[in-house]
Amino acid sequence: MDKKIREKLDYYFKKADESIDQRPRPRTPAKPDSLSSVIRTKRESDLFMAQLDAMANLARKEYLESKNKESE
Amino acid sequence: MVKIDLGNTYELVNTSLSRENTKIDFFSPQSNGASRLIRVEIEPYPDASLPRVCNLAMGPLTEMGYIDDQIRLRHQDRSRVYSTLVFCILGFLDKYPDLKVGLDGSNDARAAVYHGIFLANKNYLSNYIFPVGVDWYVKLLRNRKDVERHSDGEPFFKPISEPFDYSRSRHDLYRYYVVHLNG
Repeated sequence: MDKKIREKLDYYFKKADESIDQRPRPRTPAKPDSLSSVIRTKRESDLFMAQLDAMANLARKEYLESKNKESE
Repeated sequence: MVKIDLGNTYELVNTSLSRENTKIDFFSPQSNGASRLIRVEIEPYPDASLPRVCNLAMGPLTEMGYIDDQIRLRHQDRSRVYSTLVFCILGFLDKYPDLKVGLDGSNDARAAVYHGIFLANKNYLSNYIFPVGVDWYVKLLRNRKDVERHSDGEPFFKPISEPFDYSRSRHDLYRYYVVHLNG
């Protein structure tokens, strides 16, 4: 991660820690989400999450490989 | 085209960051000269069966204090608005790397914006986050004439995810997008 972006994130994390607004706010009512129309059971959700984790691992692997190639 | 630059974002004026309810506000100048307060909200997915997926909403607040994510705004600088949004997503995922942020593609206009951002900023974004595309599919039965259906006759759709396919144009949107951290 770019150093300036890292510093910017850390600045806002610190600001968030200092300024968390504890006043009760209206909570957005849960809207029907399109994903919920196709995930109906725990088995389906477990399968979906496993797919997402596999995608994340694959994307990271491909990213690192491309970075290694660039540096060669 | 929206160009993401995390170094060029609006100042975040109110930040409340937690796994259960993250709210971040910023002001976006509009083309009519006025400035609108925009809220980014990230909350756990309403269905407890997906505990590591969070929903994202962005928009101005209604009088009741809810986010209006259907309104059409004329931002002076869309790239800066969406850079701010991506910065908020990055901050959330950096703080809670086990979580993922879901972007509902049920609204075509909104999905097209997200899709276009991923397409146009692939190399830049890959240093920080990765998108996953989710489609629905329905199983063709072995008789090759019909598809799997619910008892009420409606097709039995299932989700299928893949790493975002950058050859898919904005005319071939995913139904749902999931963003995860590169790290």
